[in-house]
Formats: sequence, structure tokens, C-alpha cells
Amino acid sequence: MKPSAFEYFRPTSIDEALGLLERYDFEAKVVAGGQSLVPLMNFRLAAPAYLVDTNGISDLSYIRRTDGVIALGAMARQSEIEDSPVVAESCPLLHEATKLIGHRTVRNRGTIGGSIAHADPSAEYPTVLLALDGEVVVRGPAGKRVIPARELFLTICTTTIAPNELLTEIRLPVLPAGTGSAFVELNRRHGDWAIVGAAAVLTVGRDGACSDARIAVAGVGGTPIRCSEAEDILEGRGLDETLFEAAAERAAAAVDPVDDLHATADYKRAMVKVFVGRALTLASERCRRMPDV
Amino acid sequence: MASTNRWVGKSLRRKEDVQLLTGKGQFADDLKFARLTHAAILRSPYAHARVRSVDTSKALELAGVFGVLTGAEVGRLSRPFPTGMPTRLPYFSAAVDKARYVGEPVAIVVAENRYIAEDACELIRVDYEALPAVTDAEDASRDGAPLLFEDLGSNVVNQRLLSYGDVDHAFANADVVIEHDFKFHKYSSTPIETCVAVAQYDQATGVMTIWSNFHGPYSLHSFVAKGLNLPENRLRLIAPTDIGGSFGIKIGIIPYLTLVGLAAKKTDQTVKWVEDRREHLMALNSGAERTAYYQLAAKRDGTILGIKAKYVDNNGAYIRAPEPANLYRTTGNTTGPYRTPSLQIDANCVVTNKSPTGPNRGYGCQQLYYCQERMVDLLAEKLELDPAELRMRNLIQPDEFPYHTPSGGLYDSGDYPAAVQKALDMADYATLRAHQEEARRQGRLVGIGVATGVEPCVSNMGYLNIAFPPEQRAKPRFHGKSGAGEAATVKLDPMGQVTAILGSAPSGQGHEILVAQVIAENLGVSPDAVNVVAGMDTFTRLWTISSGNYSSRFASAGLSAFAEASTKLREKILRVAAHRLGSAQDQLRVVDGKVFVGDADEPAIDFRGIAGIAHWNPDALPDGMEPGLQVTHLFNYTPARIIDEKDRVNSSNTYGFIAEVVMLEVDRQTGEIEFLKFVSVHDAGVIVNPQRVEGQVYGGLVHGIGGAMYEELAYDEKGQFLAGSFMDYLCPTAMEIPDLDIGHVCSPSPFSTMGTKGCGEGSAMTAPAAIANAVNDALAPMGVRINELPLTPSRLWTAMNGAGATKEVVLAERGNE
Amino acid sequence: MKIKGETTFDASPDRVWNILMDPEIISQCIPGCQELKEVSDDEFSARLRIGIGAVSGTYEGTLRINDRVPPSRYAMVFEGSGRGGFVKGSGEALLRAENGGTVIAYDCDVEVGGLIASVGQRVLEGVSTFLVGQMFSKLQGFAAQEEAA
Repeated sequence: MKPSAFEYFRPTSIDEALGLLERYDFEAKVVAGGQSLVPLMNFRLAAPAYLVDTNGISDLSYIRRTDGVIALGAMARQSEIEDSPVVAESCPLLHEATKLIGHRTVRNRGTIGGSIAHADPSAEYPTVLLALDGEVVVRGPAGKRVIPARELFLTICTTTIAPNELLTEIRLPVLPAGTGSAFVELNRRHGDWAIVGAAAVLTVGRDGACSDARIAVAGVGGTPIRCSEAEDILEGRGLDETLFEAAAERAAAAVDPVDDLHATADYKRAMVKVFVGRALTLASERCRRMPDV
Repeated sequence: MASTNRWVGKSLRRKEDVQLLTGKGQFADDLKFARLTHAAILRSPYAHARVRSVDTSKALELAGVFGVLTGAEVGRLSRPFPTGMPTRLPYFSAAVDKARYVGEPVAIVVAENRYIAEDACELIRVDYEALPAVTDAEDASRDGAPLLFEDLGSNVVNQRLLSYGDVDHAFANADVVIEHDFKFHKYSSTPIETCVAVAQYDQATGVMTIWSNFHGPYSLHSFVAKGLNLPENRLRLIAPTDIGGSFGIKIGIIPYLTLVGLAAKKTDQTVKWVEDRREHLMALNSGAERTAYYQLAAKRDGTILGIKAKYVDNNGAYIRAPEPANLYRTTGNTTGPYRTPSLQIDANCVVTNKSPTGPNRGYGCQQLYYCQERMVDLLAEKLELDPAELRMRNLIQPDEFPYHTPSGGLYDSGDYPAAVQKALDMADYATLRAHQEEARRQGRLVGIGVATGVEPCVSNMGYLNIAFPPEQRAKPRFHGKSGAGEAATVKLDPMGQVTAILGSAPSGQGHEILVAQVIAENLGVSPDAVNVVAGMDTFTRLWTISSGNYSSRFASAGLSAFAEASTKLREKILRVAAHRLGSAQDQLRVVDGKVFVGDADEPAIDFRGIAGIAHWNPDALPDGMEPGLQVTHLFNYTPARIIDEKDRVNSSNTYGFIAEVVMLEVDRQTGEIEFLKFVSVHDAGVIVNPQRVEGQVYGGLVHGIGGAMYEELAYDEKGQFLAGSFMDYLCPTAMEIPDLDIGHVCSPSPFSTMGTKGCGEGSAMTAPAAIANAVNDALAPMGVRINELPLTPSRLWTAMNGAGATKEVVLAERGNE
Repeated sequence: MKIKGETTFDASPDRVWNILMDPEIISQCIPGCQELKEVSDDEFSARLRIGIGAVSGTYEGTLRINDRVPPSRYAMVFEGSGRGGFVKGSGEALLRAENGGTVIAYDCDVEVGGLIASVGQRVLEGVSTFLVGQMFSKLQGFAAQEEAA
């Protein structure tokens, strides 16, 4: 289980990295934490001729809160995010999802940028990004561009980031008071890829009605999926379990999972209902715990 | 003799703890060699294909490649491995003309490093003619199924109908007969170090030396010699001190030792091959998959009268020794702990296009007890008896030992009712049942499972002969087997220090400290003072054909050998001392390596002084005594006899016992299982080191939970292997394991020197049964039964939601209703 | 693995049939197709470079079209191999006119063997579905162009 030969680069700046990506284009691959790419290379499923290691770029590991946005450098480690008080306070959904990624040893290496760019449909971060309507910043030969989450994911492990572009920053909105969120998932063992994951974010206004509902699910399609119809059921209404069940049912009806070794498609669809339901219940309990605005 | 147990029974730490825990273990991969080259194996992507041609020219052109050995060449250079059954299958270390499972070696490349060797594998062009594959043993048994070995005309390659007692009478006179079928799936073990082989051939002496992490040597040595076409005394196998676990499956290293050896000889290089995890999962041994059909006859009061079972074992593409013994290893203990007077087994060994099988911790027992303990629960359900109570009614009683089972087993000792009662007490069984009732009222799916099992230890090689029918065994040229021995060497070196040399390679269980404890006890020294030599070298160690680290044999066979050897050595030490001191031998005491006469406070002589005589000054020895202080003892079990004409064989030599009580809850929404209670009681005879036993109990139980709920070597219907990494082959981790309540009872074995039995396989045999019973109990209110493993959330959910509920149990009633 | 489904074209069965039988168009619609050569009337050889995220590989193989019944059905047998293993399959496509367009019902039995099968289980079916979808969406594009033309 040894990779094919490749040429290795460790640029120290974004521009240097972009130069390499421009030069080698499709033949190059960016490696961040290496938690997905390196096993693929060892299996020889991936055999990039050039490997551009972004671990030498120093200014990509930040976690900052500014103007209602949390900005995370693409190289911020999952363990740093897990430990960050800023994240715990301003983006509890990200905090909760982080703890579900693999194991701590994986999170010590894994990065948020790597996870999002790898775009595994069962992974937590792409689902969080989509649920929160976050955006990513990429740098390329033409400069900087911002891609909203809804325009980022194409299919399994495929995004709209071009081979000559580098993901540099992830931006997530800080949600208003009265918001509760939850990330729950089903897996065979702790730390495994989610069979089904569900993120829910609910905002309740002064009148007690839901002013904003966001639901995204993982593991049941080529990309994480936003459950807009389910969200519509909740918005503008007073939240209760009956409504959650209706929304969860709608979410389940909207996905089209496939069989795999660990779960049948029917089971996955049923679990979308269960886990969206659980996420909504948990999120609504949490928003009720928030102080009045 | 030492009268106070100073050392036996103490939880002393493993001698190897510090090395292993500080990352300084010496595993096979750590061995260093001069001018080492590296091998990679090209494997078949097809489950069944004719290998029309193998073009190695491009691979040979690659810089850094020393050579390629193809399956066709293996066929010319090698002899097929022996098969321990009447039917001969051509099994070589690589596919000679046909590949019969995904992952079967097709060629091996030797290169400067593993990277280049793998590059070269990609350059080999193999022309395959894909053939239809068959993966299910029952499909493979049908007429018209694709044949793995056309010459044989059938995929059923071994078949025995074994009858013990009057089973027809039992069924004719039963009040109730129940029937059920079961599927036991294919899974394996995941030793932390996969297989490693480093082979070197000395052209001058004709000696092939192979360093590897095998757990033998036992018959593995003779098999590899055969594969290499070498006289046995030209094959030297060496194992390092740490081999990273075995669990039985590493006997599957035989073809690799052969293949790497052949490659070393061909290329005239020292060749190293390290099995990667995908290779390990795809092509090393697994436990056999079994489809089983059971009938059980009983009286209305629950007394079991007889069992009829048909086993259809899926042994994969080849019969790897000691297979087909998954069918036969359990012969003596087929009836488990119950007084079942009659038994009929229709045993079928079937080849299919899956990877070959072999011993996997529990060898044959997990399949046996899973089915049998489910049957007992189904009987309890039918008779509306509590499953624990039903078991109690059928257990062999303590005054019946030594107990002869109908199939030839000689259970040495035990108190099964006490062990079951202990498990029930520890679990507070009555309270659990009350809690269950309460939970059911709340609509929760809570179940309780009880399972018991007799733990066979120290295989008698004689069980292998069951594969041959009595008429063949009666022929004069047939060689019966009864080996169950183990060798030990203990010596006092010229300066009086104690060294003990193992006759088998441990795999991390802590054999070293056990040996030190036994020797310390017998010689009167401190365990710290005993140097224990692990690892193996077949050229320099004393060993016998049964020597090895398998079938839970070390604590009884191995320690018996050391107990006997150290007792003999003590005797010689005292004779030398008595002669020197001019006192009677029975007046001497040994404390901490010093010899005292009578009640004297000052020692009269110490081991150094005694060694000084025996090694340095033999002139001072008693007349006729051999110089030196070294004893090698080869212990053999007398109850290990050859099989009789009625297929009865005492298939093991000591028999432990396990009783388990599990309470769990199935999540009605998701099918996930949560353990609420897990009690496991073991009878391993005399315990030398409780901490070591606890380690084994945990390991076996975790492995059992893995088999019951997580681990599966899955294939698709075309024979493609689907679980080639730890992403898909799921071993439970510490996070999945519940708190375990472990209890012990002790029934000393009369046959081992110190009363020890084994405990290495333990709950790996019974946990799947206990968990399956608990899950079925949990689902009973829904009218759902599950007869398959692993019990995954998806499978449970599917069953609960109608689509996957398995065949209803057929309950036939007989007699006066 | 079964790859089975239906897809609708805004074109008549005759036009759809012609598109499906045009090697030039097909080569532009099969994802990653680098080369499609007509070996005989019914047989094509192909070279594909398929990449999903970091995983990519070149596959060489053949496609044979049998039992053509224009414009309503054909059967196919295909196989290919590359670094990640091999793909083999067979299946059939049925075309029927519906609401002024054409529905293609396809049903293929596909065996994916070797490395990808053994370590790529979690994504295999999803990837296949995606690739098939990608091919049909391109074919639909061609059908729409032709119809407009």
C-alpha cells in the first residue's frame, strides 16, 4: 500500500501555491491535513503527479469573528475549531459537528478547508456550511472569488473550485439571538462516516413563531442536501413536535439515497426522518434556552 | 515442594509491558537485514477466472526490479499443500491456472523497495478469462453450479454424517421438536501487525530461512517445507519476540511464507513482504460462514433429548489446513454443557469463490454455540419456560465429572450450575426481568440474553481425522493423530541464573510472566530473576508438531510443560545441593535462590554455588549425574487419543466454561443496540495471573461483540470483495464496548500439571449467541425474529419494519397433547 | 450493482435513437471519454479518463451493441479495466414515445471489480448514478439542439 511516485511541493505563500496549481493544473492536488487524500494515494486510487502541501502557508489557520461573520482560515485544524471559545459561542452548530468528525487524532490533522474542498457527502463540515448558508473564499489566477455554499457542491467529492484555485477561507454567519441549532448523526461506530447526518437551525421571534428554519442532511446523496420544503413547513409557525414530524417526513421524502454495505436506501430514508426530527427537537429546545431578545 | 503459593495467582505485570507501551516492541517488520529487497503481490480482481497468460516484460524492464515469479512458475517449483481430507485439491501459494477468489496471488514482484514493486505490479499484463462465480455455499452445492475444481465434479469437497447415541429414538419419543435455520457470517480478526515474511535462501547449504510473525511452529512448518519443496530440516522459521497478535488466523501465513521463499530462491535475494491491511482483509483467513439447519427434540419439562443439525460451511476457494476442521474441532463438545444424549451432524464442507477460511478465535465454537443457544431459547419460548431455568435443567452436574459426551469428549472438570448461578446473581437476573417487564410496558424494546458454552482448550490433533470416514481410517497406510504436546526448557546457567525458553511463539498474551511465575513458584526464586525467552527458531528450540500458540493451550499445555521442567530442575538442584552439603534432600528448603538446611537461618549454598558445581566442577557432582543444569520437558496430554471407529474423539484436553447474561435495548426508531448489562463468568481452572485472564476475557468478548454486531467480510453476488479497509470492515473500538462485569469460578483440571485450563477464546465463542438471544428477546413483542449476523442497525430496522423478518420457526408437537 | 432508471428526452424516438447510435455524439457524452473507435458495426473500443475528486483513472474497454430494434430497444455488453480494477456489465435500453417526447428505460447489471470495489463501497453506487446522470443530461442537450435545428 504505497503511493505512486509524485513530486512534492511545500509552498510558503498563497501566491506560490497558486503558481504551482496554475503550472500543473489537473495533474496537481492540494494536500491539507491529508486525512482523506493520503489514504486514497496509498490505495493508489488517487495518483496525483504533483502534490502541493499547504501546511507551510502560515497565515491560513485563523479563527476570527468580525461583523456578524466567523471567518476561518482553510488550514484551521478541526481540533483547534473544537477547542475554540469563539466557535463554541458564536457558532455552536460548527462546534457540535466538529466533535463528530472521526477521532481526536484525526481532528488534530484534519482541516476545515480540506474537509470542505474534499466535499465528501457524508462529512460534517460541508453539511454545516450548507445549513448555515455560509460561503467560501477561493483564490485563483484571476484573484479572489466568493462561492456561496449552495453553489459549491456538485457531486461526490466534486466542487466548483477549479483545479487552479485554492480555498483560503470559510465564512459562517453568526446567527441572531433566539436561534438554536443541532447536529446529530447516525453511524455504525463512534467516529465513522455518518450513515445519515442532520443539521437543524431554528430561529424563533418574539412572537414565538419560527422566523428562520434551516435543515441540511448528509450521507443521502452526492452532496449534502438542503431540505427547503421541510424548512417551509416550519417558517412562520409556532414550533411543536407535530410540526417537526411533518417537516422530518418532508425531508425524508425529498432525498433519494442508495444502498451501501452498511445500510439500505429505505433505511437511510427512514433515518433522515428520525434524525431531522431529533435535530429539530434539540434545536428548538436550545433556542428556547436562549435569553429573550 | 513449595507449599505456599507465593507467585501463582498473583496479578504480576507482563514482562513486555514497558517495551510495548513505550513503543519499543520488536515486531517482524522491525527486523533489519543487509541488502534487503521488497516484494509486492499482484492479485486477481476476479472471483473466478482462467489465467490465460501473464506478461511480465514491462515490469521486468522497470529500473529496480529484480524479478517476477508467476503462478505458473509456482506450479512448477512447488508441491501443492496437503489437504487434511480424502479429496485432494490442488492448492498452491499462487494461482497456477485459475484464480478462484478476489485477492488470490497471481504473481509476486521483487524490487529495490515496495514502491517500485507496486509500480511493477501495475505493469504486469494478465489475460484473464472471467468465469461465472459462486459465493453461496448452498448455491455452490447445487447441480449446475460453476465448479471451482472441474476434475472433482462437485464443490462439496468433504462430507460426513456423524451420529452419536440413538437420535432416532430421541426424536420419536420427544414431546416437542423444534426446527430452525441460521446463518453465521464470515468475519475474521485484525492483528495489529499483519503478516510479514523475510526469506533468504542459502544456495550452499540448501537452507531456507524465513523470519516471520507466525504463532506456530506446529504443522505450519511441514506445510511450508512441502510448498517450498524442501526437506523439513532445511527450512528454518524464526519469529521475533513480538508478533502483533494472531487470533488463529495467522496460520494463513503458510502460502505467503512459501511464495516469498520461492521468490527469494528465484531472485537470489533476501526478500521481505509485508501484508497490507487490504491484503489481510481480502485474502488471509477468516472464520467459515455457516448455514445451519437445526432440529431439537425435548421433553415437556425441557429435558433435551437430541439434536440433529446440518452444517453447510463455506470454506472459500481452497481448503487451507487445518480446514475443514471448522466442522470437526468442536466434535467432543458439540453438546456444550448440556446432558444431551444423542446427536446427529450432517457436516458439509463447500468451496466457493470467496477467500479461504481457517481458525478464527473460537474455531468452530462461535458457529456452534450461536445456533445451539438460539435453539435453547426457542425451546424455552415454546415451552414457556425461563431460558435460564431451562438451561439449569439441562446442565451437566458437578458430580458427573469427568464427563463423557456422546461424541467422545471427556470434560475434565466443572461446576456449570454454580457458574450459571453466579452469572445470574451478578446480573441480578430477577431484577433484570422485572425491569424488562416495566420497559416493555413503556413500549421499549428491552431484551435479556443468556448463553453458555464449554470452552475447549488444547486441541487434540486427532479431530482432524474425522474428515476421513472410518473405512478409510481403518486402512493400514492411514496415520492417525493424537498430538497435544508442548515443550519447555528451563536452565540454570553457569552463574546460577534462571532462563526459560518457550517452545511456541506468544502473540502478546503475556506468556512470559506466566512462565516466570510458575518457575518462581517451583524453583524458589523471584519472577524478576527468571529470564524468559520468547520468539521462536525452529532450528534451535525444542518443539513438536503440536507446539504453538493456538486453541487456548498455553496456560494448560505450555505451563504444564514448564511446571514439569522446573520441578525436574529443582530436583536436580536439590540433589546437587544435598550431595554437596551431605544432608538429606528432604531437609532442604529453597528461598530466593538460596538453599537452607532444616530450620537454619543462614543459607548453606545458593544457586550460584550449585551452578558452580554443575557447570564448572562436574567432578563434585554425585556419581553418574550429567553435568549442567538444564531440563527440557515435552508435556503431552494423556486424554488425547486417536479417533475411534465410531467417530468419537476427545477433540480437546481441558474444557473450561462460560456463562453470559446480557441486557440490551434496541432503539425502535433506528435499530441501534445499547447494552444495559453484560455479565461474563468464566471457569478457566486454576488462574496463574488474574490480570492476564481478565485481558483474555476482555479481548474475547470484544471480538464476540465485533462478530455479533460489526465485523463482516462482505462480498457481492459476483464474488467481489467489499470490505477492503477499516472504513468498511468495522472492528469495535473501546467506544463501542459496554462495562463488563467479569466473574470466575475455578474447577481445577485434573489433567494439567497445575489444574490450569485455557481462556484465550472465551466469549468470542459465546457473545454472539448471548447478544442474538437478547436481541431476539427484545424484538419478541413485535413478533420479529432474526437468524442472521451481524446485528446491524439497518438489518434490525428492516426486520422490525416487515421486509426482513426471517423465516418463522417451525414448531412441531409430538406425543400426547 | 444494478443501474436502473428512466430518463425523458424532448425529442421523438427516431431522433433519440439516432443520437444514441451516433459514435461521435456518444463519445462527447460519456463522461471522460477520450476516444471511441468503431471496431465493427456493433463494437466500439473506448478510452475513458474518469475522475471523481482526487480519484481518477484511465480505463480502456469495449462496448458491444446487440439486438437493435430501431427505434425501440437495444442491448449492450461492456467491459473495461484500469488501475482501479475493472467494470463489466450488460443491460438493455427501451425507448418509448410519451407526451411528444421519448422515455428511455435502462436496466444494467454492472460488476465493478478489484480495488474500487473493495475500498470504495461507500460511494460506488452514488458515483455510478452521477456518471449515468451526467451522460444523459449531455445527451438530452444534444437532443434539444437537434430538435431545435
